[in-house]
Amino acid sequence: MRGLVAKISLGIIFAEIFLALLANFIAPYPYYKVDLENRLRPPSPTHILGTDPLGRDVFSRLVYALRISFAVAILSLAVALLIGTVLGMVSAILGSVTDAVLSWIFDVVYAMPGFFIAIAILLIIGSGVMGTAAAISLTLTPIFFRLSRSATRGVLVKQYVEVAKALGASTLRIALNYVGRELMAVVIPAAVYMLSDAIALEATLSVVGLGVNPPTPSLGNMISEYKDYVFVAPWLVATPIAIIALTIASLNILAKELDKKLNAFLEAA
Amino acid sequence: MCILGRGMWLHILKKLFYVLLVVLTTTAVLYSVARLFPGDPITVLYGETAPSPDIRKLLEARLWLDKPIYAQLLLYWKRLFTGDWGVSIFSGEPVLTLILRRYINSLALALATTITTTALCVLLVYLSTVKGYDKIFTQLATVSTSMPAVLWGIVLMLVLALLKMPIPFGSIVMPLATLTIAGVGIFYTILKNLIEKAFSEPFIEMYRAVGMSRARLFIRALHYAMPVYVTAVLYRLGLIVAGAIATETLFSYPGMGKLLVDAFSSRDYPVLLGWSAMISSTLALLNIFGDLLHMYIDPRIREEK
Repeated sequence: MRGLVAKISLGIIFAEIFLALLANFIAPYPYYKVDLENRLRPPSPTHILGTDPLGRDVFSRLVYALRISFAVAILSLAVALLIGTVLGMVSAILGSVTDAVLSWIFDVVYAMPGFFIAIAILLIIGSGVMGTAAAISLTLTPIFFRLSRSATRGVLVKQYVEVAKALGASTLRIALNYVGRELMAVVIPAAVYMLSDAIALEATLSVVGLGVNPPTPSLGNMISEYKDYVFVAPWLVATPIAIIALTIASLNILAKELDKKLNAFLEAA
Repeated sequence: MCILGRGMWLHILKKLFYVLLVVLTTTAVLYSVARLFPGDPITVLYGETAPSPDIRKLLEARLWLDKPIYAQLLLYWKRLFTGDWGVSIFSGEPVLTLILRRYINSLALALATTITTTALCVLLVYLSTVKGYDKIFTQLATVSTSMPAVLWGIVLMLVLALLKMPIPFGSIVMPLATLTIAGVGIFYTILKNLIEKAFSEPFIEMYRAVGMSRARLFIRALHYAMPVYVTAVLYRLGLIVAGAIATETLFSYPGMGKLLVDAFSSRDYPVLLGWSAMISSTLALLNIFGDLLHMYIDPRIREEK
Protein backbone atom coordinates (compact mmCIF):
# COMPACT_ATOMS: atom_id res chain seq x y z
CA MET A 1 0.00 0.00 0.00
CA ARG A 2 2.64 2.52 1.09
CA GLY A 3 4.84 1.46 -1.78
CA LEU A 4 2.01 1.98 -4.25
CA VAL A 5 1.27 5.49 -2.96
CA ALA A 6 4.93 6.38 -3.26
CA LYS A 7 5.05 5.00 -6.81
CA ILE A 8 1.99 7.00 -7.82
CA SER A 9 3.56 10.14 -6.32
CA LEU A 10 6.74 9.51 -8.25
CA GLY A 11 4.65 9.00 -11.39
CA ILE A 12 2.86 12.32 -10.86
CA ILE A 13 6.10 14.24 -10.39
CA PHE A 14 7.70 12.61 -13.44
CA ALA A 15 4.61 13.32 -15.54
CA GLU A 16 4.73 16.96 -14.46
CA ILE A 17 8.41 17.27 -15.24
CA PHE A 18 7.81 15.60 -18.61
CA LEU A 19 5.03 18.10 -19.41
CA ALA A 20 7.20 20.97 -18.24
CA LEU A 21 10.21 19.95 -20.33
CA LEU A 22 8.23 19.31 -23.50
CA ALA A 23 5.86 22.26 -23.01
CA ASN A 24 6.47 23.67 -26.49
CA PHE A 25 5.55 20.37 -28.16
CA ILE A 26 2.61 19.49 -25.94
CA ALA A 27 0.83 22.83 -25.67
CA PRO A 28 -1.73 22.99 -28.50
CA TYR A 29 -1.67 26.81 -28.57
CA PRO A 30 0.94 29.43 -27.66
CA TYR A 31 0.37 30.42 -24.02
CA TYR A 32 0.01 34.10 -24.97
CA LYS A 33 -2.41 33.69 -27.87
CA VAL A 34 -5.40 35.93 -27.14
CA ASP A 35 -8.75 35.07 -28.71
CA LEU A 36 -11.30 37.57 -27.49
CA GLU A 37 -14.20 35.91 -29.29
CA ASN A 38 -13.78 32.71 -27.27
CA ARG A 39 -13.49 34.03 -23.73
CA LEU A 40 -14.26 32.03 -20.59
CA ARG A 41 -15.33 28.92 -22.52
CA PRO A 42 -15.86 25.81 -20.38
CA PRO A 43 -13.77 22.71 -21.17
CA SER A 44 -14.42 21.34 -24.66
CA PRO A 45 -12.59 19.15 -27.24
CA THR A 46 -10.84 22.18 -28.80
CA HIS A 47 -9.81 23.61 -25.42
CA ILE A 48 -9.60 20.69 -23.01
CA LEU A 49 -9.45 22.93 -19.92
CA GLY A 50 -11.45 25.80 -21.40
CA THR A 51 -10.28 29.34 -22.07
CA ASP A 52 -9.49 32.21 -19.74
CA PRO A 53 -10.84 35.80 -19.59
CA LEU A 54 -8.62 36.76 -22.53
CA GLY A 55 -9.53 33.68 -24.54
CA ARG A 56 -6.17 32.02 -23.96
CA ASP A 57 -6.08 28.23 -23.84
CA VAL A 58 -5.85 27.21 -20.17
CA PHE A 59 -4.21 23.84 -20.84
CA SER A 60 -1.38 25.45 -22.83
CA ARG A 61 -0.86 28.03 -20.11
CA LEU A 62 -0.85 25.31 -17.49
CA VAL A 63 1.85 23.31 -19.26
CA TYR A 64 4.07 26.38 -19.50
CA ALA A 65 3.20 27.34 -15.92
CA LEU A 66 4.52 23.96 -14.79
CA ARG A 67 7.77 24.72 -16.59
CA ILE A 68 8.13 28.17 -15.01
CA SER A 69 7.07 27.08 -11.51
CA PHE A 70 9.36 24.07 -11.49
CA ALA A 71 12.22 26.12 -12.90
CA VAL A 72 11.80 28.77 -10.19
CA ALA A 73 11.44 26.16 -7.46
CA ILE A 74 14.41 24.05 -8.55
CA LEU A 75 16.66 27.05 -9.17
CA SER A 76 15.92 28.62 -5.79
CA LEU A 77 16.24 25.26 -4.07
CA ALA A 78 19.62 24.55 -5.68
CA VAL A 79 21.01 27.92 -4.61
CA ALA A 80 19.65 27.58 -1.06
CA LEU A 81 20.92 24.03 -0.78
CA LEU A 82 24.41 24.87 -1.98
CA ILE A 83 24.88 27.99 0.14
CA GLY A 84 23.07 26.70 3.22
CA THR A 85 24.71 23.28 3.30
CA VAL A 86 28.25 24.47 2.61
CA LEU A 87 28.05 27.30 5.12
CA GLY A 88 26.51 24.98 7.72
CA MET A 89 29.31 22.48 7.24
CA VAL A 90 32.01 25.17 7.36
CA SER A 91 30.40 26.66 10.44
CA ALA A 92 30.36 23.34 12.29
CA ILE A 93 33.87 22.30 11.26
CA LEU A 94 35.64 25.61 11.93
CA GLY A 95 33.67 26.41 15.09
CA SER A 96 34.59 29.38 17.34
CA VAL A 97 34.08 32.86 15.85
CA THR A 98 33.04 31.72 12.37
CA ASP A 99 30.38 29.49 13.86
CA ALA A 100 29.11 32.17 16.22
CA VAL A 101 28.84 34.83 13.51
CA LEU A 102 27.23 32.58 10.88
CA SER A 103 24.77 31.11 13.37
CA TRP A 104 23.81 34.55 14.57
CA ILE A 105 23.19 35.83 11.03
CA PHE A 106 21.05 32.85 10.11
CA ASP A 107 19.19 32.98 13.42
CA VAL A 108 18.20 36.57 12.74
CA VAL A 109 17.05 35.71 9.23
CA TYR A 110 15.22 32.65 10.51
CA ALA A 111 13.52 34.60 13.29
CA MET A 112 11.79 36.89 10.82
CA PRO A 113 8.65 35.54 9.22
CA GLY A 114 9.86 33.89 6.00
CA PHE A 115 7.37 35.68 3.89
CA PHE A 116 8.56 39.06 5.08
CA ILE A 117 12.08 38.37 3.87
CA ALA A 118 10.73 37.22 0.54
CA ILE A 119 8.78 40.45 0.11
CA ALA A 120 11.76 42.59 1.10
CA ILE A 121 13.96 40.86 -1.48
CA LEU A 122 11.34 41.20 -4.19
CA LEU A 123 11.11 44.91 -3.57
CA ILE A 124 14.85 45.37 -3.84
CA ILE A 125 15.43 43.14 -6.86
CA GLY A 126 12.02 43.60 -8.42
CA SER A 127 9.56 40.83 -9.11
CA GLY A 128 9.95 38.46 -12.03
CA VAL A 129 11.45 35.02 -12.42
CA MET A 130 14.90 35.87 -11.02
CA GLY A 131 13.57 38.03 -8.19
CA THR A 132 11.13 35.33 -7.13
CA ALA A 133 13.83 32.68 -7.20
CA ALA A 134 16.15 34.86 -5.11
CA ALA A 135 13.41 35.60 -2.60
CA ILE A 136 12.49 31.95 -2.20
CA SER A 137 16.07 30.78 -1.92
CA LEU A 138 16.87 33.29 0.83
CA THR A 139 13.93 32.06 2.90
CA LEU A 140 15.05 28.46 2.49
CA THR A 141 18.79 28.95 3.08
CA PRO A 142 18.64 29.20 6.91
CA ILE A 143 16.82 25.87 7.09
CA PHE A 144 19.57 24.10 5.14
CA PHE A 145 22.17 25.90 7.21
CA ARG A 146 20.69 24.63 10.46
CA LEU A 147 20.20 21.10 9.17
CA SER A 148 23.70 20.84 7.81
CA ARG A 149 25.31 22.45 10.84
CA SER A 150 23.66 20.12 13.33
CA ALA A 151 24.21 17.03 11.16
CA THR A 152 27.89 17.91 10.74
CA ARG A 153 28.32 18.40 14.46
CA GLY A 154 26.73 15.01 14.97
CA VAL A 155 29.19 13.36 12.61
CA LEU A 156 32.26 15.11 13.98
CA VAL A 157 31.90 13.56 17.42
CA LYS A 158 31.59 10.02 16.05
CA GLN A 159 34.39 7.66 16.83
CA TYR A 160 35.47 6.82 13.31
CA VAL A 161 36.02 10.52 12.65
CA GLU A 162 38.17 10.71 15.77
CA VAL A 163 40.14 7.76 14.47
CA ALA A 164 40.52 9.36 11.05
CA LYS A 165 41.77 12.53 12.72
CA ALA A 166 44.24 10.56 14.79
CA LEU A 167 45.48 8.88 11.61
CA GLY A 168 46.16 12.34 10.20
CA ALA A 169 43.26 12.89 7.81
CA SER A 170 43.01 16.53 6.73
CA THR A 171 39.96 18.64 7.57
CA LEU A 172 39.03 18.76 3.89
CA ARG A 173 39.19 14.99 3.62
CA ILE A 174 37.01 14.54 6.68
CA ALA A 175 34.54 17.11 5.35
CA LEU A 176 34.24 15.45 1.95
CA ASN A 177 34.45 11.78 2.86
CA TYR A 178 32.74 11.42 6.19
CA VAL A 179 30.58 14.47 6.72
CA GLY A 180 29.47 14.74 3.11
CA ARG A 181 28.22 11.17 3.05
CA GLU A 182 26.05 11.42 6.13
CA LEU A 183 24.92 14.89 5.21
CA MET A 184 23.34 13.51 2.05
CA ALA A 185 20.95 11.34 4.05
CA VAL A 186 19.74 14.46 5.86
CA VAL A 187 19.83 17.02 3.08
CA ILE A 188 18.33 15.08 0.15
CA PRO A 189 14.96 14.25 1.76
CA ALA A 190 14.87 17.78 3.19
CA ALA A 191 15.47 19.14 -0.30
CA VAL A 192 12.47 17.22 -1.63
CA TYR A 193 10.34 18.65 1.18
CA MET A 194 11.69 22.11 0.48
CA LEU A 195 10.84 21.76 -3.20
CA SER A 196 7.20 21.61 -2.17
CA ASP A 197 7.76 24.62 0.11
CA ALA A 198 9.28 26.52 -2.80
CA ILE A 199 6.27 25.77 -5.00
CA ALA A 200 3.91 26.81 -2.20
CA LEU A 201 5.87 30.02 -1.60
CA GLU A 202 5.75 30.96 -5.27
CA ALA A 203 1.98 30.52 -5.26
CA THR A 204 1.59 32.54 -2.06
CA LEU A 205 3.75 35.38 -3.38
CA SER A 206 1.70 35.50 -6.56
CA VAL A 207 -1.58 35.86 -4.69
CA VAL A 208 -0.24 39.02 -3.04
CA GLY A 209 0.68 40.32 -6.49
CA LEU A 210 4.42 39.69 -6.26
CA GLY A 211 6.17 36.73 -7.83
CA VAL A 212 6.42 35.91 -11.52
CA ASN A 213 4.89 38.70 -13.62
CA PRO A 214 2.06 37.98 -16.04
CA PRO A 215 1.72 37.33 -18.98
CA THR A 216 4.40 34.67 -18.27
CA PRO A 217 2.27 31.94 -16.68
CA SER A 218 3.20 30.29 -13.39
CA LEU A 219 0.98 28.08 -11.24
CA GLY A 220 0.79 30.89 -8.68
CA ASN A 221 -0.05 33.77 -10.97
CA MET A 222 -2.62 31.69 -12.84
CA ILE A 223 -4.38 31.17 -9.53
CA SER A 224 -4.11 34.81 -8.62
CA GLU A 225 -5.38 35.92 -12.06
CA TYR A 226 -8.28 33.48 -12.16
CA LYS A 227 -9.43 33.80 -8.56
CA ASP A 228 -11.48 36.85 -9.50
CA TYR A 229 -13.61 34.70 -11.78
CA VAL A 230 -14.78 32.13 -9.22
CA PHE A 231 -18.39 33.11 -9.78
CA VAL A 232 -18.26 33.10 -13.58
CA ALA A 233 -15.82 30.32 -14.36
CA PRO A 234 -14.91 28.28 -11.28
CA TRP A 235 -13.01 25.64 -13.30
CA LEU A 236 -10.37 28.20 -14.20
CA VAL A 237 -8.89 28.48 -10.72
CA ALA A 238 -9.70 24.92 -9.71
CA THR A 239 -7.21 23.30 -12.12
CA PRO A 240 -3.99 25.06 -11.01
CA ILE A 241 -4.99 24.67 -7.36
CA ALA A 242 -5.55 20.95 -7.82
CA ILE A 243 -2.17 20.64 -9.52
CA ILE A 244 -0.36 22.47 -6.74
CA ALA A 245 -2.06 20.35 -4.07
CA LEU A 246 -1.20 17.17 -5.96
CA THR A 247 2.41 18.24 -6.44
CA ILE A 248 2.96 19.20 -2.82
CA ALA A 249 1.31 16.05 -1.49
CA SER A 250 3.37 13.86 -3.87
CA LEU A 251 6.62 15.59 -2.95
CA ASN A 252 5.91 15.18 0.76
CA ILE A 253 5.17 11.47 0.36
CA LEU A 254 8.32 11.02 -1.73
CA ALA A 255 10.43 12.86 0.82
CA LYS A 256 9.19 10.60 3.61
CA GLU A 257 9.90 7.50 1.54
CA LEU A 258 13.33 8.75 0.51
CA ASP A 259 14.17 9.53 4.13
CA LYS A 260 13.39 5.95 5.12
CA LYS A 261 15.25 4.39 2.19
CA LEU A 262 18.38 6.49 2.62
CA ASN A 263 18.58 5.86 6.34
CA ALA A 264 18.14 2.13 5.82
CA PHE A 265 20.86 2.23 3.15
CA LEU A 266 23.25 4.11 5.39
CA GLU A 267 22.70 1.76 8.28
CA ALA A 268 23.30 -1.24 6.05
CA ALA A 269 26.50 0.22 4.58
CA MET B 1 5.80 35.67 41.27
CA CYS B 2 7.60 33.80 43.96
CA ILE B 3 7.98 30.78 41.69
CA LEU B 4 10.71 32.62 39.88
CA GLY B 5 14.14 32.13 41.33
CA ARG B 6 17.04 34.52 40.85
CA GLY B 7 18.35 32.49 37.93
CA MET B 8 15.03 32.83 36.20
CA TRP B 9 14.98 36.60 36.52
CA LEU B 10 18.44 36.69 34.99
CA HIS B 11 17.20 34.46 32.21
CA ILE B 12 14.30 36.82 31.48
CA LEU B 13 16.56 39.86 31.64
CA LYS B 14 18.90 38.23 29.16
CA LYS B 15 16.00 37.50 26.85
CA LEU B 16 14.70 41.06 27.13
CA PHE B 17 18.13 42.31 26.16
CA TYR B 18 17.94 39.98 23.20
CA VAL B 19 14.55 41.49 22.22
CA LEU B 20 16.13 44.94 22.26
CA LEU B 21 19.00 43.73 20.11
CA VAL B 22 16.68 42.14 17.59
CA VAL B 23 14.54 45.28 17.31
CA LEU B 24 17.61 47.47 16.85
CA THR B 25 19.17 45.24 14.18
CA THR B 26 15.99 44.71 12.18
CA THR B 27 15.14 48.40 12.13
CA ALA B 28 18.75 49.24 11.25
CA VAL B 29 18.84 46.78 8.36
CA LEU B 30 15.44 47.86 7.13
CA TYR B 31 16.25 51.54 7.44
CA SER B 32 19.37 51.14 5.33
CA VAL B 33 17.50 49.01 2.79
CA ALA B 34 14.66 51.53 2.65
CA ARG B 35 17.10 54.34 1.94
CA LEU B 36 18.73 52.28 -0.80
CA PHE B 37 15.44 51.60 -2.56
CA PRO B 38 15.31 52.96 -6.05
CA GLY B 39 13.09 56.05 -5.93
CA ASP B 40 13.16 58.59 -3.10
CA PRO B 41 10.17 59.09 -0.80
CA ILE B 42 9.54 62.65 -1.93
CA THR B 43 9.11 61.58 -5.54
CA VAL B 44 6.76 58.84 -4.37
CA LEU B 45 4.82 61.44 -2.41
CA TYR B 46 4.47 64.07 -5.14
CA GLY B 47 4.84 62.01 -8.28
CA GLU B 48 7.10 63.04 -11.12
CA THR B 49 6.03 66.68 -10.89
CA ALA B 50 8.83 67.71 -8.59
CA PRO B 51 8.03 70.34 -5.97
CA SER B 52 10.06 73.55 -5.98
CA PRO B 53 13.58 73.23 -4.56
CA ASP B 54 12.65 75.16 -1.41
CA ILE B 55 9.74 72.91 -0.56
CA ARG B 56 11.85 69.89 -1.39
CA LYS B 57 14.48 71.08 1.04
CA LEU B 58 11.86 71.61 3.73
CA LEU B 59 10.43 68.14 3.21
CA GLU B 60 13.87 66.59 3.21
CA ALA B 61 14.61 68.27 6.52
CA ARG B 62 11.34 67.02 7.96
CA LEU B 63 12.10 63.46 6.94
CA TRP B 64 15.77 63.93 7.95
CA LEU B 65 16.83 63.12 4.43
CA ASP B 66 19.43 65.90 4.62
CA LYS B 67 21.42 64.04 7.29
CA PRO B 68 23.81 61.12 6.82
CA ILE B 69 22.21 57.73 7.13
CA TYR B 70 23.67 56.78 10.56
CA ALA B 71 22.42 60.06 12.03
CA GLN B 72 18.98 59.36 10.63
CA LEU B 73 19.09 55.93 12.20
CA LEU B 74 20.13 57.23 15.62
CA LEU B 75 17.38 59.84 15.51
CA TYR B 76 14.93 57.16 14.55
CA TRP B 77 15.96 54.91 17.43
CA LYS B 78 15.58 57.80 19.84
CA ARG B 79 12.04 58.42 18.62
CA LEU B 80 11.22 54.73 18.63
CA PHE B 81 11.64 54.65 22.39
CA THR B 82 9.84 57.90 23.06
CA GLY B 83 6.73 56.63 21.31
CA ASP B 84 6.88 59.05 18.39
CA TRP B 85 7.08 56.72 15.39
CA GLY B 86 6.62 59.42 12.78
CA VAL B 87 3.74 59.76 10.35
CA SER B 88 2.80 57.59 7.40
CA ILE B 89 4.10 59.15 4.19
CA PHE B 90 1.04 57.87 2.40
CA SER B 91 -1.86 58.80 4.66
CA GLY B 92 -0.32 61.30 7.07
CA GLU B 93 -1.63 59.30 10.03
CA PRO B 94 0.72 58.80 13.01
CA VAL B 95 2.43 55.44 12.50
CA LEU B 96 1.94 54.25 16.06
CA THR B 97 -1.85 54.64 16.03
CA LEU B 98 -2.06 53.15 12.54
CA ILE B 99 -0.02 50.13 13.58
CA LEU B 100 -1.84 49.63 16.88
CA ARG B 101 -5.18 49.56 15.11
CA ARG B 102 -3.98 46.94 12.65
CA TYR B 103 -2.15 45.08 15.39
CA ILE B 104 -5.31 44.58 17.41
CA ASN B 105 -7.07 43.17 14.34
CA SER B 106 -4.23 40.73 13.74
CA LEU B 107 -4.12 39.77 17.38
CA ALA B 108 -7.85 39.06 17.33
CA LEU B 109 -7.38 36.90 14.24
CA ALA B 110 -4.44 35.06 15.78
CA LEU B 111 -6.21 34.38 19.07
CA ALA B 112 -9.43 33.30 17.39
CA THR B 113 -7.48 30.98 15.10
CA THR B 114 -5.56 29.50 18.00
CA ILE B 115 -8.76 28.80 19.89
CA THR B 116 -10.62 27.22 16.98
CA THR B 117 -7.62 25.20 15.84
CA THR B 118 -6.83 23.90 19.31
CA ALA B 119 -10.47 23.05 20.10
CA LEU B 120 -10.82 21.23 16.80
CA CYS B 121 -7.52 19.40 17.24
CA VAL B 122 -8.29 18.21 20.75
CA LEU B 123 -11.66 16.97 19.57
CA LEU B 124 -10.19 15.18 16.54
CA VAL B 125 -7.36 13.63 18.50
CA TYR B 126 -9.85 12.51 21.13
CA LEU B 127 -11.96 10.88 18.45
CA SER B 128 -8.97 9.25 16.82
CA THR B 129 -7.16 7.92 19.88
CA VAL B 130 -10.12 7.10 22.12
CA LYS B 131 -12.86 6.33 19.60
CA GLY B 132 -10.58 4.90 16.92
CA TYR B 133 -11.20 7.10 13.86
CA ASP B 134 -7.48 7.24 13.29
CA LYS B 135 -7.08 6.38 9.58
CA ILE B 136 -9.49 8.90 8.12
CA PHE B 137 -8.22 11.84 10.21
CA THR B 138 -4.62 11.10 9.31
CA GLN B 139 -5.57 11.22 5.63
CA LEU B 140 -7.46 14.47 6.16
CA ALA B 141 -4.46 15.95 7.95
CA THR B 142 -2.29 15.11 4.94
CA VAL B 143 -4.80 16.86 2.70
CA SER B 144 -4.85 19.91 4.96
CA THR B 145 -1.07 20.27 4.90
CA SER B 146 -0.75 19.75 1.17
CA MET B 147 -1.56 23.36 0.37
CA PRO B 148 -0.32 26.70 1.65
CA ALA B 149 -2.92 28.55 3.75
CA VAL B 150 -3.78 31.14 1.14
CA LEU B 151 -4.76 28.49 -1.40
CA TRP B 152 -7.21 27.08 1.12
CA GLY B 153 -8.64 30.59 1.15
CA ILE B 154 -9.18 30.39 -2.59
CA VAL B 155 -10.72 26.94 -2.25
CA LEU B 156 -13.14 28.43 0.29
CA MET B 157 -13.96 31.21 -2.17
CA LEU B 158 -14.59 28.54 -4.77
CA VAL B 159 -16.91 26.64 -2.46
CA LEU B 160 -18.86 29.79 -1.59
CA ALA B 161 -19.10 30.63 -5.28
CA LEU B 162 -20.49 27.18 -6.11
CA LEU B 163 -23.02 27.57 -3.29
CA LYS B 164 -23.93 30.96 -4.80
CA MET B 165 -23.12 32.68 -1.51
CA PRO B 166 -21.50 36.14 -1.24
CA ILE B 167 -17.91 36.26 -0.03
CA PRO B 168 -17.59 38.44 3.09
CA PHE B 169 -14.51 40.51 2.30
CA GLY B 170 -12.99 42.58 5.08
CA SER B 171 -14.49 40.52 7.91
CA ILE B 172 -12.67 38.11 10.18
CA VAL B 173 -14.71 35.09 9.07
CA MET B 174 -12.85 34.12 5.92
CA PRO B 175 -9.26 34.48 7.18
CA LEU B 176 -10.27 32.69 10.37
CA ALA B 177 -11.75 29.76 8.46
CA THR B 178 -8.77 29.65 6.10
CA LEU B 179 -6.12 29.67 8.81
CA THR B 180 -8.04 27.11 10.84
CA ILE B 181 -8.25 24.66 7.95
CA ALA B 182 -4.57 25.10 7.15
CA GLY B 183 -3.57 24.87 10.83
CA VAL B 184 -5.61 21.85 11.88
CA GLY B 185 -3.56 19.47 9.73
CA ILE B 186 -0.29 20.49 11.33
CA PHE B 187 -1.52 20.59 14.89
CA TYR B 188 -3.52 17.40 14.63
CA THR B 189 -0.33 15.57 13.66
CA ILE B 190 1.69 17.21 16.43
CA LEU B 191 -0.89 16.58 19.13
CA LYS B 192 -1.62 13.03 18.04
CA ASN B 193 2.05 12.07 18.13
CA LEU B 194 2.39 13.63 21.57
CA ILE B 195 -0.68 11.86 22.92
CA GLU B 196 0.45 8.54 21.48
CA LYS B 197 3.81 9.02 23.12
CA ALA B 198 2.06 9.79 26.40
CA PHE B 199 0.00 6.64 26.10
CA SER B 200 3.16 4.57 25.99
CA GLU B 201 4.49 6.14 29.22
CA PRO B 202 4.41 4.07 32.42
CA PHE B 203 2.27 6.56 34.36
CA ILE B 204 -0.58 6.12 31.90
CA GLU B 205 -0.18 2.34 32.16
CA MET B 206 -0.51 2.75 35.91
CA TYR B 207 -3.72 4.79 35.59
CA ARG B 208 -5.03 2.19 33.18
CA ALA B 209 -4.24 -0.57 35.64
CA VAL B 210 -6.11 1.37 38.33
CA GLY B 211 -9.12 1.19 36.03
CA MET B 212 -9.44 4.73 34.74
CA SER B 213 -11.66 5.14 31.69
CA ARG B 214 -10.09 5.92 28.32
CA ALA B 215 -11.61 9.38 28.32
CA ARG B 216 -10.03 10.21 31.71
CA LEU B 217 -6.75 8.71 30.53
CA PHE B 218 -6.94 11.03 27.54
CA ILE B 219 -7.15 14.06 29.82
CA ARG B 220 -4.05 12.90 31.73
CA ALA B 221 -2.22 12.37 28.45
CA LEU B 222 -3.33 15.81 27.27
CA HIS B 223 -1.84 17.40 30.37
CA TYR B 224 1.40 15.58 29.68
CA ALA B 225 1.40 16.72 26.05
CA MET B 226 0.56 20.37 26.75
CA PRO B 227 4.03 21.97 27.15
CA VAL B 228 5.29 20.90 23.72
CA TYR B 229 1.97 21.65 22.09
CA VAL B 230 1.86 25.13 23.61
CA THR B 231 5.33 25.92 22.26
CA ALA B 232 4.23 24.98 18.76
CA VAL B 233 1.03 27.01 19.09
CA LEU B 234 2.83 30.11 20.38
CA TYR B 235 5.25 29.98 17.50
CA ARG B 236 2.41 29.90 15.04
CA LEU B 237 0.53 32.62 16.93
CA GLY B 238 3.49 34.89 16.33
CA LEU B 239 3.54 34.04 12.67
CA ILE B 240 -0.14 34.88 12.32
CA VAL B 241 0.28 38.23 14.05
CA ALA B 242 3.27 38.88 11.81
CA GLY B 243 1.17 38.28 8.89
CA ALA B 244 -1.03 35.80 7.63
CA ILE B 245 0.19 38.22 4.98
CA ALA B 246 -1.26 36.59 1.90
CA THR B 247 -4.46 35.42 3.57
CA GLU B 248 -5.21 38.87 4.98
CA THR B 249 -4.50 40.48 1.62
CA LEU B 250 -6.70 37.97 -0.21
CA PHE B 251 -9.73 38.80 1.92
CA SER B 252 -8.81 42.48 2.50
CA TYR B 253 -8.72 41.92 6.26
CA PRO B 254 -7.18 45.05 7.82
CA GLY B 255 -4.43 43.37 9.86
CA MET B 256 -0.65 43.64 10.04
CA GLY B 257 -0.19 41.45 6.98
CA LYS B 258 -2.18 43.66 4.68
CA LEU B 259 -0.51 46.71 6.23
CA LEU B 260 2.88 45.32 5.24
CA VAL B 261 1.85 44.71 1.64
CA ASP B 262 0.27 48.16 1.36
CA ALA B 263 3.25 49.88 2.97
CA PHE B 264 5.64 48.11 0.65
CA SER B 265 3.73 48.96 -2.49
CA SER B 266 3.56 52.64 -1.55
CA ARG B 267 7.18 52.68 -0.26
CA ASP B 268 5.84 53.99 3.06
CA TYR B 269 8.99 53.42 5.04
CA PRO B 270 8.01 54.97 8.41
CA VAL B 271 5.22 52.39 8.47
CA LEU B 272 7.59 49.64 7.34
CA LEU B 273 10.02 50.44 10.12
CA GLY B 274 7.27 50.60 12.70
CA TRP B 275 5.96 47.30 11.41
CA SER B 276 9.28 45.53 11.74
CA ALA B 277 9.93 46.98 15.22
CA MET B 278 6.50 45.87 16.38
CA ILE B 279 6.70 42.41 14.85
CA SER B 280 10.24 41.57 15.88
CA SER B 281 9.51 42.58 19.47
CA THR B 282 6.24 40.61 19.44
CA LEU B 283 7.95 37.46 18.23
CA ALA B 284 10.68 37.78 20.83
CA LEU B 285 8.25 38.58 23.65
CA LEU B 286 6.09 35.60 22.72
CA ASN B 287 9.23 33.53 23.09
CA ILE B 288 9.69 34.79 26.66
CA PHE B 289 6.01 34.29 27.38
CA GLY B 290 6.37 30.73 26.13
CA ASP B 291 9.15 30.09 28.63
CA LEU B 292 7.07 31.42 31.51
CA LEU B 293 4.03 29.45 30.44
CA HIS B 294 6.16 26.33 30.24
CA MET B 295 7.22 26.79 33.82
CA TYR B 296 3.67 27.29 34.88
CA ILE B 297 2.52 24.10 33.17
CA ASP B 298 5.54 21.95 33.92
CA PRO B 299 6.88 22.30 37.49
CA ARG B 300 10.02 20.33 36.66
CA ILE B 301 11.41 23.20 34.59
CA ARG B 302 10.92 25.59 37.51
CA GLU B 303 13.24 23.50 39.63
CA GLU B 304 15.92 23.21 36.97
CA LYS B 305 16.32 26.94 36.49
